[in-house]
Amino acid sequence: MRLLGKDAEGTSWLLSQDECGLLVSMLRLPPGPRSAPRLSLAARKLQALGGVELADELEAHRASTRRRLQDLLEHAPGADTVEGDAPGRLLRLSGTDFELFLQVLNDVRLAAWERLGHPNPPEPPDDLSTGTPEFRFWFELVVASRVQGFLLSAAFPG
Amino acid sequence: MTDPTGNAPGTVEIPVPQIDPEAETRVDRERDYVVVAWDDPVNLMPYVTHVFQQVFGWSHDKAHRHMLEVHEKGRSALVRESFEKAEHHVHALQKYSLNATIEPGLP
Repeated sequence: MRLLGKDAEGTSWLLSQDECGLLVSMLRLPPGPRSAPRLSLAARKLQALGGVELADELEAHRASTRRRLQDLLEHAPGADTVEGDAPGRLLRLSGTDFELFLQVLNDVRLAAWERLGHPNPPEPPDDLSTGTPEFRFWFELVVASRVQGFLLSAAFPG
Repeated sequence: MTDPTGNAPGTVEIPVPQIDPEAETRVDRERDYVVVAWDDPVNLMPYVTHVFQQVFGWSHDKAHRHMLEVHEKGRSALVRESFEKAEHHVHALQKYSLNATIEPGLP
């Protein structure tokens, strides 16, 4: 994955076919359940009075951002003319889509972390085996962390 | 000696301030809630800094300071504002999966 350019409209990224496929596969997996967001007393009172169901709204937002990113990745045009790179995909992200990408990656990270029982620090054990049920969640946590960190450091160096 | 105000000698007229009886209450209502971000062991530090910049339009330095406060002290009071604005900001932070709440402001 490589940042090709950045302008007022957004950023352009080159992904290998494998990177694109990996991200799409992760997004196709059913998301793990997420615990309800922590609410203040004031927010709970507001909800009790018939206010906005914040948790439901957040779940709807998460589902739509996941679909949006999956759509962007699946329809990213081929990019096979970049010198020194194998055929890949050109991912064009507006500023808003870049933020959604970060949010989706964080959702993947946090859902995996919750399924793993909130390990602190959130680092896989040395003896992790690929045959264990936890492997998928550690895999998602690590991959999403790497991609999220890469996106931020590439788009906002320094 | 001449009093430029035209008051009788030996008397001083103390101007009575024009107080809007609702002003203080209005200010309290408008700035009575604090948006608080809470620490967690999973969100990446550069991510949290980036989210603060995006949600509040802060400089990198200011966002970084608040991120460190969250990390080191467990929480950081981010902004003090009306309930409606605070709710909007908390919702925006929760879209990024950050732990944030609205708390009543200290008097």
